[in-house]
Amino acid sequence: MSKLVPEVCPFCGAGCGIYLQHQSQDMITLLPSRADPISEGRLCIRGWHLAALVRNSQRLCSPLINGTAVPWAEAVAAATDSLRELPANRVAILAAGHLTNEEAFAASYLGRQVLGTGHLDNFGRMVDGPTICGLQYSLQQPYTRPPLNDLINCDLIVCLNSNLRELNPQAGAWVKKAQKAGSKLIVIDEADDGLGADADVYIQHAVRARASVLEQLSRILAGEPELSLELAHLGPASITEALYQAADMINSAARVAIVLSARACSIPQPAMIAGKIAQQINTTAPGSAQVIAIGGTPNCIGLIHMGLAPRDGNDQSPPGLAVGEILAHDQQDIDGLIVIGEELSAWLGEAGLKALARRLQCLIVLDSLHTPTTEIADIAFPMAGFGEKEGSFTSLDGTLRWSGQVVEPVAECRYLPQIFAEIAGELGHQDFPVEIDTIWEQINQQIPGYGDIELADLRANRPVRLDETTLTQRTGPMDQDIELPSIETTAERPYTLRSRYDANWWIYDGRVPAIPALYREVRDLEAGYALMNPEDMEKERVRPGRSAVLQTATGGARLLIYPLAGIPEGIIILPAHQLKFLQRLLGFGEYDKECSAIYRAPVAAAVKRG
Amino acid sequence: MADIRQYILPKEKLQQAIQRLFQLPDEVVAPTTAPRGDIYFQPVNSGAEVELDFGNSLVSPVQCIVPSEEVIFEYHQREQGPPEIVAPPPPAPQIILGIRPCDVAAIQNLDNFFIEREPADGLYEARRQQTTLIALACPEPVADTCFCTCCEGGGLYAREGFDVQLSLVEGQYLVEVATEKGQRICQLWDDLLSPATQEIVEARDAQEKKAIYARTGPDANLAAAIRRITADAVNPEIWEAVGHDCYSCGGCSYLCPVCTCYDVVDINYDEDHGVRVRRTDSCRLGGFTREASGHIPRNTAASRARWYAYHKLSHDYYKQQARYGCVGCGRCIITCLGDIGMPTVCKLVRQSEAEKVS
Ligand code: SF4
Ligand code: SF4
Ligand code: SF4
Repeated sequence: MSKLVPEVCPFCGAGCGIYLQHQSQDMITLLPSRADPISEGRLCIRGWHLAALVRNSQRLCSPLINGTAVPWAEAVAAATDSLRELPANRVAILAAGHLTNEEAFAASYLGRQVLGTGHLDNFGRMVDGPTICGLQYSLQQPYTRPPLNDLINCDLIVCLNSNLRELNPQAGAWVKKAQKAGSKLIVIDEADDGLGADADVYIQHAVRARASVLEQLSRILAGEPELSLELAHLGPASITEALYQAADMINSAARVAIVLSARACSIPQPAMIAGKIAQQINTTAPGSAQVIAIGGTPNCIGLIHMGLAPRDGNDQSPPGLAVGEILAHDQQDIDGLIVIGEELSAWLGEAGLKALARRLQCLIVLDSLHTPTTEIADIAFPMAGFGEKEGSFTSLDGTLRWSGQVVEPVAECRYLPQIFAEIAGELGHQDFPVEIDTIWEQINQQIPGYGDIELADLRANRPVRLDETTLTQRTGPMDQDIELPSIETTAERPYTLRSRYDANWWIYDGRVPAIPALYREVRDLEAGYALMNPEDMEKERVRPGRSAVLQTATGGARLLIYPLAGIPEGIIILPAHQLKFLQRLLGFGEYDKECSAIYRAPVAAAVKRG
Repeated sequence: MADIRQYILPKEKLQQAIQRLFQLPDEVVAPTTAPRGDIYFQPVNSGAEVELDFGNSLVSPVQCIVPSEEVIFEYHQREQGPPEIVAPPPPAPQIILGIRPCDVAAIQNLDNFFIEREPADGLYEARRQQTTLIALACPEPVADTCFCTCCEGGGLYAREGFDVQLSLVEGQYLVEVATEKGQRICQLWDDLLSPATQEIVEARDAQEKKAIYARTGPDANLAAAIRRITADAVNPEIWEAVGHDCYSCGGCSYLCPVCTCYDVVDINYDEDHGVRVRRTDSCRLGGFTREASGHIPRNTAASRARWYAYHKLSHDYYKQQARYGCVGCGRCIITCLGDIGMPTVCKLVRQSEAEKVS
């Protein structure tokens, strides 16, 4: 029987602490940790099943070439042969958000030092990027959140996800604990998925109007003119009253936490405005408000620090492509892709995965599990999984947390840096860092914020904090995007068709007539709808609720048109949850690399009745 | 209690007594401090590792007898004929030192479930036979989540089920030896023990009474809840309320020393060989009642919460096992994400009675 090995759950950004213990043979047991300040002995269903993740029949046990098991040497030779053939700038590496910092460093080293490519990114950014970026934008500094257990010290919690208990269960438990300790709870969401029923004030808003509602709250708090209800379409008229009530509660609270789950925000605006509100409150009462954003992945920020993100040109190399660009259906810049620990069909669908594999000359996958991605890969390597390696995660709260190794990797699985070292060795790089000690020497030297961190402290589970003063602040395209380029309309296409991104943060996805039935109709019938100024509609002889054909340079679509008086003349709004129509009419959009979110610039459009 | 022999062990001799346990071939399992500061029952090699000043461990020591995961057998496919089956090695003898009375009571439930009801479970029985329990009575409830004293039959010291029990009374240990296995331990301590006096036995009872009177922990009043549930006179709305708060994480039953459900799975990395294992399962999980067709009869957290309570708190359970399905250890209170441990459920059940009456 092994000693108890402290671990951090890799399934979400809450970072619950557990222990694993190796009993005998393939038996691993899990023990929840009451002394862990975040989990205090509680775990969600994912955490409870972590031991089964270490040993199960889905483990990938040997290297594969085209789905068939081969000896290691053969797989390494095949991988190096393919990589040798490709120009460096046509190779990319994409990593899952659950890699440890040490693995990420090795992946980044392989990319930048060995292969010479800057096309490195991680999937954690797909989940957490928009939120981290949004907060960074409004706070004007790298975002560090207070630890989850700080919620207990708040006397008001404003939660933006009624399904927090599903997204980050431990955060849900802390909200409940805080309530029990006397904190008030405001929940703002479009439908109640549980937490609303527990709230002192539950503000139900129109579908996808979260940012608009937050903007309204911000204006109320600042005493600025309110958004016009009709234009903003926040929801029922009573919503303004509820927001005033919320503002009163905020004003009289000594400590406020705005809680949001990054997994539920695919765009940066909610986090941006949440950050703005916290700033507003702190201007009058310094230090009294904070945003507690919980990541959907355990180590997104660590992976960015380690270099698994396209750099924005402040190092010598030109910025690389980002995950959304690399996976884009029409990308033609990448021929060789190394994917680490991610199941791509979850993002692309099965057909998308097949198309990607066809498009690439070489797909190399490292994973600890058998997945459709390892099946379709040209070459797949079995990787040491959770509990079979040691390493650290960087939590959004600015601390580093260590997970130890409880068993040797199963079958032929190997530690990721070791796999890369073999490939690098074949490519003529003999000094690839494999040992944790060597990796940490280099992390200490090279990674801002990590200079003073002692590996011994990490291994001993002593509290370790990043030196935040040396972290580089990342700002990016978002600054410019606030002012959108004006659109050249033509006689042929006299209207400007806009989606969610606009000169105002809040206009991103709201403004949908607040009729749930309409939303349902749209969802169920797969119909689409757009909103126009009533006078424009009259001019085009389009009747409310009837369909019209919208035509842009990229395509056309028949949509139901509804009037909305607040919309300026000449503007048509296509509410942003209608992905299919957005793609058809506004194109695939612009991918904001920094946030890992997609924006679609306005385009000129024509309206034809019938 | 007739054949329980009682002795006194001076408090300062305890370390010496513990150290002598290591003379036996048995593995000594005792509360010890883990890296983050948690206390768990783990194999120890010396008395210095033992931490007896603890509340209770979040993971019950019953897991030394029914681990959350264990190998049933290993199988190897042969060229021809049935696969070769390799049984796990027989369990080695172990002493569980410091087990609390609630967990001793839980083992009695488990004995009933795994051994006394035919057919006996071989894996459990073998390990149980090899286990010696040295219980450590609680001078008062040792954690603010303990409620053993309002579970019928529970108490701050065990009346039965242990091999040896240590109760700290007025600065010395009352040592009780109940079985032959216990006798074996007692022989090790021969020169450390002196016969117990009537006074110390009475003082222990008085100490328990006083502690129960003074206790401030959660009130479950299990008996009242059981009466209510047995009469099936519970307002169904309470299950909706419990279901609303329940995350279906399974923690309450994974940590419950009384819960016995398990699942059987094969772990194999190739087609030719693998291990068949059993793992604890939980009736609080969504898929627990999934049928072959895919249909899930108890597909809401509310219906599962009801099932859980009706199982643990029903008189039928009592008829089968002569015990209730809860020993008041309080682990479900600590681990519950939704803050609905057993006392909360009992309270809702009792209150629902009040509503009906009014
Ligand atoms: S809340 Fe998150 S970190 Fe905690 S056990 Fe669940 S998935 Fe793991
Ligand atoms: S139901 Fe709760 S308190 Fe009762 S024995 Fe089980 S874990 Fe302990
Ligand atoms: S521990 Fe609590 S939340 Fe988890 S299944 Fe049990 S009752 Fe539900």
